[in-house]
Amino acid sequence: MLTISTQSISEKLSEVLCAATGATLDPLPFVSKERAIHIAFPATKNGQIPSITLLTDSDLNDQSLTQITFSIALKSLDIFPLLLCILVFLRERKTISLELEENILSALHEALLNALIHGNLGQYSDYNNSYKMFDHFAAIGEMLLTNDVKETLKMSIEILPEQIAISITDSGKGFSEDAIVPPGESALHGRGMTIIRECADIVNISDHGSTISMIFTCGPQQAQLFSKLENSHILIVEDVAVNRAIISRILKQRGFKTISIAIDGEEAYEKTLLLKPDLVILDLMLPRMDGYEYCRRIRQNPAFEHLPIVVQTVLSQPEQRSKAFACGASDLVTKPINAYELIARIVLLLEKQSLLNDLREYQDRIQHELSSARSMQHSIMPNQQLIKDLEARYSIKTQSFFQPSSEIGGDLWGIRMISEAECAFYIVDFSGHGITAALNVFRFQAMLQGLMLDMTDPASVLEKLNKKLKEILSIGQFATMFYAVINTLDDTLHYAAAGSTNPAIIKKDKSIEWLDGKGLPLGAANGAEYKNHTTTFTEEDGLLLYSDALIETANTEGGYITTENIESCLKAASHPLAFNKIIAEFKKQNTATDDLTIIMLSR
Amino acid sequence: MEFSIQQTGSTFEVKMRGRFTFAENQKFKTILQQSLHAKPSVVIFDLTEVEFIDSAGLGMLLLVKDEMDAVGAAILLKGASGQVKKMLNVSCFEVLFGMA
Repeated sequence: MLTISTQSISEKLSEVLCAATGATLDPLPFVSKERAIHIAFPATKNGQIPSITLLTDSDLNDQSLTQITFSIALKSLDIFPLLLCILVFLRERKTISLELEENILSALHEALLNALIHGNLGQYSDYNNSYKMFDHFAAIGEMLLTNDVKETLKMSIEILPEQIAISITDSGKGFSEDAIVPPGESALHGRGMTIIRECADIVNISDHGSTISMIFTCGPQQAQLFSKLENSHILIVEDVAVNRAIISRILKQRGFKTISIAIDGEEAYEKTLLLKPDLVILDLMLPRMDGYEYCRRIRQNPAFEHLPIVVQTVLSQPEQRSKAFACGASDLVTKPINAYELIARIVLLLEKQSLLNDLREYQDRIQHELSSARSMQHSIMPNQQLIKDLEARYSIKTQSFFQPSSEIGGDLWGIRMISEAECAFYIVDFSGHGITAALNVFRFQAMLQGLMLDMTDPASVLEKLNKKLKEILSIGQFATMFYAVINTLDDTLHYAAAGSTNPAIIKKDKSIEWLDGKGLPLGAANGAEYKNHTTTFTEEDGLLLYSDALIETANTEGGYITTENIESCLKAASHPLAFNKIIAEFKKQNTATDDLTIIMLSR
Repeated sequence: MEFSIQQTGSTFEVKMRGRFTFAENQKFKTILQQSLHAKPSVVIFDLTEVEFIDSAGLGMLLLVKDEMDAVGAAILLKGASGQVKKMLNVSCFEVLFGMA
């Protein structure tokens, strides 16, 4: 990355040109003619300088100045400072990408080198055609450092809407096309033209090589951003005709195309509603309705809450400033208007507005993507068809409730039909929530499909999953899991747990059996072992599975759902109604900060 | 431009910093002489910290290559990025040099 000091351009130009030419003139001769600056330098120490006008900083900083031409007698081998100086000039006027900056620097460097070598060689008969010898670079270098250098370069830089055109003419004899070396060839000279042609979009060589014109096109993205700003609609509110004309001219010079005028507060208010400008430049002292009142009224309308309003104030009245901000002004400029300051503030506000719009679009897109992800996540959970099949095959009714804390979450549950009499249920809760947890859920689901597992042996299922998850999860990520096999033939429930919540079995007689969810979470430790448990699970029994959000979300009084709460829900009604009661109980809680899954299986 | 040379056995690593342009002609000749004097079998130019190179810089690298080829030594370039990488690509230097 190249860094450039924040020195003013004219200062920098003076410094660089003095160093490059050995000139000691103070002040430096800058000549202004219409919109172009001609910087004339004496080619020799005693050269005559025509009548000159010294350019001030504000002239050089004038954004409307988009073309400079100058003559310069380079006296140093290090032309880089001059390049940086040109880059500052370009940057001040145009948004240029880093890549384009590199291309301009590379091509310009080569073109200047070319002018130095051929231009200077042309002055000395001894060196004619000697550019074929690389070693002569050194000789030229030494020559440049003496005071005998006669060569003058003419350089012109022009900034067009989507292009930058740079042309350099030296006073030498040029070169012939056969001196140019194709890429990949090991010659010690003639590489510069290849670089220029590669870096500039259009290259034109004339006068036998003593003039090189280069055109760089600004990428579509930059042109877009630039034209986006220039297409902004600006409303000028000002009752004095002269001031309106001045502001309008400044804006037009900078390239703003759509400008509207209002001459009093009432008109400004009406035009704002009607035209919906992108920015308003507002005078405070206005007939009919003053600027403060305009600001207050417009800010009351939600559609114009973020409309940039630049207020013009008079320095002698500082109280105007705070009052203007209090009424809703976005920024201030002081009268008399400084063109550079006005443009800088306007561009900043418009850019901010454009970025905010981009941000809103981005948020909308993410929102949209998250809801797609959410429906994807729902699709990997058991669907109604599977639940119906299960009921038909095993006479087991399934109720489920799933609510991610954000759009998507880290909970998963599933069903596996193993044999005529056996089916498996599992509930998984990944650490964390949101996108990371959800991605892990998808990985887990894929893994579960891919692994060869003995689905009838809960402990071995957990052990294999643990081994695999330990390999893929980052440190700190883990999952809790409860895995159970229901056998409808011998009325048993065979299960193993990895740090899950304690599921509950509701017996026919409404007694509750709490199952043991203890065990190392999956993916936390290598070689974790899990224990198989067996209990009875007969007809009309129910099994309640839930993720920890059910018992870990506080209600408004800071209380939690306890096992007693759950028990009383389960005892009070049939399984399906008890399930609804528990969900109702949970919904009394504050907004859950974790994902919640509740499953009820009833035989 | 600044440079430092590190010698490991018969391998020379020349680490360069800053801009490598026409203006560095004299300085570079010094590097060349120092490198050749020690009769290395491999010379590596580390361009990681070179921020800008021009056609003369490329030409100077070729000059070293010619000298190294003449004594049967290998020359490698490494670490080029940004503008420098682009210039090496534009001139098809990967055909002429080994890339470390």
